[in-house]
Amino acid sequence: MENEPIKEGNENNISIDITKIPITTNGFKWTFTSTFLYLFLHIFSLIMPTVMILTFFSFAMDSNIFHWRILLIFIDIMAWWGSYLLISLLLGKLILIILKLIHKPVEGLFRIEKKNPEYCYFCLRITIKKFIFWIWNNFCFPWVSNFAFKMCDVSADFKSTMFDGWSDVEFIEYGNNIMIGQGAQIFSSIIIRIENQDYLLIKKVIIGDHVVLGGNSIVSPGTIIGKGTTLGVWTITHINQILEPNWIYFGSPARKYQPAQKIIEESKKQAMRRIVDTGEKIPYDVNQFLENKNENREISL
Amino acid sequence: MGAQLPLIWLWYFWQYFLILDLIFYILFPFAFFFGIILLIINSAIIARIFLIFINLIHKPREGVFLRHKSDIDYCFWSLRALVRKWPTWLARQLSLPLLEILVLKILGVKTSFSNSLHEGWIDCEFIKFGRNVRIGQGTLIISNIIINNKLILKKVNIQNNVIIGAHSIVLPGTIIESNSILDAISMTKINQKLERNSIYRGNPAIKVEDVEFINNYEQLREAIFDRRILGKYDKENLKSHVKELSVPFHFYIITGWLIIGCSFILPGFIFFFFLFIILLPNVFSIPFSLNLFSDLKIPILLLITPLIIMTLYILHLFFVALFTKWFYSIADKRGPTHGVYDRKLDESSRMLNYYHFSSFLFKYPIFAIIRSPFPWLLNWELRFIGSNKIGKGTVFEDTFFHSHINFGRNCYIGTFSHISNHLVDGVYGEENLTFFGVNIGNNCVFSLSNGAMPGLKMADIN
Repeated sequence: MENEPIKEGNENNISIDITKIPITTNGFKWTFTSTFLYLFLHIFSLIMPTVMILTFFSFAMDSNIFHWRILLIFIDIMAWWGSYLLISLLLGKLILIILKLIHKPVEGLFRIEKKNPEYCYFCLRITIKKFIFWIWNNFCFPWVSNFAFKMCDVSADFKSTMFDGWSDVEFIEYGNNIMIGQGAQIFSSIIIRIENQDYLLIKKVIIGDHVVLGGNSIVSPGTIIGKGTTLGVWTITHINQILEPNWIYFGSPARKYQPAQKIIEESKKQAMRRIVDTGEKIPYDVNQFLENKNENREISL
Repeated sequence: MGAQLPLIWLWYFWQYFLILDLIFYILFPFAFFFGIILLIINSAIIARIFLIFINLIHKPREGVFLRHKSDIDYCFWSLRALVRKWPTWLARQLSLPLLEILVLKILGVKTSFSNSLHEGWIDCEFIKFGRNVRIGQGTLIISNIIINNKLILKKVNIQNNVIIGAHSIVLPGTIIESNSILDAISMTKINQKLERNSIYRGNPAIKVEDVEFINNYEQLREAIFDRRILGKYDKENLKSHVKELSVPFHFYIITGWLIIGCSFILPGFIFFFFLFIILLPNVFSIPFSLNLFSDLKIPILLLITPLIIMTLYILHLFFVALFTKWFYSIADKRGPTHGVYDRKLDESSRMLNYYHFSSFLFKYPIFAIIRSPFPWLLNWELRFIGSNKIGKGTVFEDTFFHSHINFGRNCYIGTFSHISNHLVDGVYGEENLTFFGVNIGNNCVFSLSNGAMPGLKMADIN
């Protein structure tokens, strides 16, 4: 692959090549206010479950530990945990609605300063969403966080696997049935340094149906990914990149590698095994385990 | 040890509400969180005291050491890492960065409250941070690395206003001068020095540009928020109209519920027994005064309580592993072994259903153990479930895990490295699922953030 940057928007003689902007990290930073808010929310969402736990003994079991009711404790534990989840979501959602009414979230390029209202409200919104997602991701079924995504105005359906990666929680539109690989990241906001001053860029990311984001890949703000496209491992998309449907993309910034259809045809051919030391390729029978399944469970050359 | 102070605090708190009324229930979470913060700070201080003693016996130093029990520096390095593990783990769990930085400071890392470091992974010794440093998600900043059978320890120095992008790796001995930016997915060399005011990218990191190359706010804004780009895009490219894969969610939820719920029965029973029959009447409801320490019963109970809670936690993890083992063995027997499968939407395949089910089952026990304070139990657990064969002395850092991956003796799997046993490719609706186990020989080392594909076979290193 050649290292030719893709130029865009040259008509107005814009000298900045946006493909060269370093993709860093999302601009969120914990301030004292957000820490306080975070603790406050945690404390309030814990009140209900602790009341349930502390009164369980005297009310449910007649103060006698050898009561039969103890055998049903797993139902109670799920109820305590569930009430914790739901109350956290309700509280978080309530404060999010209030914050939205005070200051409407918009896309743009903002200066990172304590006085800038755009940045302050951005931090507060992310704090509350972090609180919600911390609780939901620590639940014993991690995929329930899809529900939390839905409630936080990020469209996501239940068949998507989203809990293995890091995803920003606003200005993202997910399609149906997407797959986020281990450690993949979707940024809708990053820091850009202009003249030694940090700026926060917020731009919407749109991801189509059945998209697969490979492990440790990074999606930058403003990216649009068409349906059925796969992003390879370690791939970075640049700001405002548009990926066509049904292709496999690879590299940094992402370039077309091959159509997704081609791989299906290729996999029907003879499988080859490559020996790393010599570079030699030898044919490999992929169906060798299917017949004597129970006897041979090891892989052998 | 660190739990004594919070317990005494809870005892003190309980005093005011001998009649459990409404105010008690409202104030209890406050007391609980205060107790947790006390616990974290207290255990950090105790770890620090331990570290001071360990450093008195053997002073930590930089250098290249042998990764073997006979090397005294290696032994003391492992010991120091072990002592640090518990407070840093605790601070990380609550996800409160201010507290995390406080713990790092107590443990002796030079850092400042204006940094944001919590998303990445940083080592806790031989590291020096300036002010206003930001690191991205999944970034690794390490001052120790294992190469073959050698351990390298060297100081890392990161100065003011540095931004390090997501998934970057900073290796031992790196110096990053102030105001520089390291791009996402790049890696520094050992002993590399990154100059000030510049942007570095690649593996190994090379200077691409000065920071000043982005200098016009108006132009940049115009370039990014150009409306013509969106206008060009066809919305039809986003929606697909294929039939969806059916997943039996109800079945998953019932088994998951059974596994997790049932694992709480015995620990829950012991917890309530301990709390309400032993701890409450003997400690919490006795009027609080320090004179009571003359009575031996109370200090002993206070010392035992954290041990009991730990034991209950391990018991819970054991039951999770046990129930998963039963379900997993059924799914594994009926599911596929190895091979390439069509993931067709029209015909439901029993094999594939069992495959999905077993990988669902596999998620929670790993998740529970890796996030617990005892990640080294993972080796035991995987052997117990019977999904993987793991030799003696193999060490796993924070990794993603799959079944059917076998390890030899003394392997080392670095942080964020990922060995996969399956691969999905193709267009949705006619995908291929490649499912192959991996065999890894003795003494193999996977460095940081590595990946391996299904069907890999690695020979022994002697």
